[in-house]
Amino acid sequence: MADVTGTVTEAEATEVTDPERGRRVRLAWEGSSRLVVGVVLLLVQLLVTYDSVAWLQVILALGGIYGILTGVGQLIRAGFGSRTDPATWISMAWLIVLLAFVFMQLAGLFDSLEANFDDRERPPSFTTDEPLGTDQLGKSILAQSIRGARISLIVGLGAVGIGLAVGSVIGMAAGYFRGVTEGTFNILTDAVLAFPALILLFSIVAIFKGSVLVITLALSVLSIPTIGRLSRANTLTFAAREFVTAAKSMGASNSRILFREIMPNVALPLASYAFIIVAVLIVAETSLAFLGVGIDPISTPTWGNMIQEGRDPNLLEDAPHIVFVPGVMMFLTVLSLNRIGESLRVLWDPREAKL
Amino acid sequence: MKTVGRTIIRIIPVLLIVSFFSSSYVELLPGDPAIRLLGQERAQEPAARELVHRELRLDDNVIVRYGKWLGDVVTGDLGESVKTHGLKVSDTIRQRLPITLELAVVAQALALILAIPLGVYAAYRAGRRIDRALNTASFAAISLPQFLVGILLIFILFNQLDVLPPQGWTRLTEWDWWDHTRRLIMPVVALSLTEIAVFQRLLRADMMATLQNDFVLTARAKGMSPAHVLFRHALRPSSFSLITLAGVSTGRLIGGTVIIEVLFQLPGMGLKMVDSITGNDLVVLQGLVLVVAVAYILLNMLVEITYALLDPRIRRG
Repeated sequence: MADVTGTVTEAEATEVTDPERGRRVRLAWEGSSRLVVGVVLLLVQLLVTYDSVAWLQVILALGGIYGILTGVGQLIRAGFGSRTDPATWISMAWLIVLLAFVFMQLAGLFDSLEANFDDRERPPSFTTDEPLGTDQLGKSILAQSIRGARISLIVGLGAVGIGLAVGSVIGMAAGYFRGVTEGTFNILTDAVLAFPALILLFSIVAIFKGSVLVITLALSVLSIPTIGRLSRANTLTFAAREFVTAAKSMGASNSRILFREIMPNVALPLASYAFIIVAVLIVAETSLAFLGVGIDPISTPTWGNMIQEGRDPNLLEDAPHIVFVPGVMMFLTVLSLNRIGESLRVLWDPREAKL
Repeated sequence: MKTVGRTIIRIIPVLLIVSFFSSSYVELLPGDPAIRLLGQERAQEPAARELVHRELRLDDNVIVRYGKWLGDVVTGDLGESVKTHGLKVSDTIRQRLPITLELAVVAQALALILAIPLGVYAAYRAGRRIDRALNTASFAAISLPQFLVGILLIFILFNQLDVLPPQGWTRLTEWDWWDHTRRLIMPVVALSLTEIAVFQRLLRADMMATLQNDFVLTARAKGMSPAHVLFRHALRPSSFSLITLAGVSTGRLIGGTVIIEVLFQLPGMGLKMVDSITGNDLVVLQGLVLVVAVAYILLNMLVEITYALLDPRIRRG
């Protein structure tokens, strides 16, 4: 069964037919049983097999998470109609939870980055005051990971914000005025995108050492031409449409046509790609930190810095959670952003909506 | 032929801008570059400063310096490392390029070998359970950065099961094929996972469009087996965008090899790049960046031309 967008679901939900009702009841049963099994597996993993072999713990945890996620997904489909896409809702829920933690930290909760040498490499345990354990210096993994989330979101959103502000304007100008403007735009974006992305970032951090501001600006060097090209391509199709010709013949100025007629149409597809670009940029920022050339690890813990510090095979043996806690958080965040972007794209681009 | 000419003309300004940028790192450094490159103490020695100034041509202006540098580069001289005396950048590249190339080529080949059957099968079974499972798996794989895959592999195959070495490299010239292969497995798998997912999704989409055509129905009606129709009739017209993407994705692959080389400590171009950033060895960095960027541009040009020759629909003039 294909994923169909939410609008269809609402129209159908008004007249719930009998097969739909039966499907929902079945979904509710299967969903709740999966949820229960998942919760039980996770509880066993957390409470019973505390000292046992790692691979058993990993299998139990993965099984538990799989059960809970698919169970919640089926319950969502049982509640809101069997054609709702639960993955998108779960993605939004994850981002909201992450943001909630970031704001809780800003309000002063679990923000201690103190080293405590008597309490190093403690494994995660939800019954203690360090639910996600401590690292090789005895610093709280939870506090560091939330800090990392804050930095990643600031850098990713900041770079995309700059990209949207600058890239959309120059892209629209290139697509609307054509001629020399477009030629210059093409050569410049070609040149920037001719570098493999990571290599371009290397060049920038080699000259200016990494700080949050430098990395944000470096990433916007990538986001500006990408967003610029997207908005140019979209502008080209809209500039040829009748409503633009009509506005022109009524004597509207260029800036009025660009900002009042074309921009609202270009903004929608750009917004859906913006989520995907944020995801890509977060991966890029983390990769730089992982290579040891990103944001300074001493002053600022980021996901990439944490993973870089814990990746040594010997440390991985003793304390895998130093890598895997920020790793899983990052994976879920990137996955959620991709998922939301993909749903929005399908929603706003009906040409690609079939399957 | 017109397309070929147009493509070549289009990349000339791009090549000039890219090479100018790679040669101008020094220009962008704040303060006397010699101090930044050598550190406070060694910058006091006149001989060392002299070397830096000569090697970087600091006494010329930007344009002259770029001209001379480009002249050297064209004749194959990429300069010498300021850090380690007399180590030529071109020699460094000659030693390290084969390793990076081997990683990239093997990973790309593995990705195509696995992604083609997976993509074809998913299109054939579109909407069924296996297709949905593959769809979820590939979406997750796209969101999984290569270094996390690599660390996960090390954790499972070295820390838990102890079947593969975690880091290091055996050169092919040592003729230890077994060890060479063993050390290649984890890096290549980590590199190709994202590619497999991307290729699989693309081929599935194109293949589903092809399967709507009448000639597919005709072939099935004539009693040909599904496998024959899929691979002998439908695969070729569905593979054009896959070829383009396989070319374009080398950019991601280049970034990926850097990360994988650092994680698995493989002595390729990427590891040297990261070392030269942390060690402020800008001459080495600009040489490596230039080679990688130009190779990437030329490769993409080649893909564009091949694509035009393969697909009559976009061949112009």
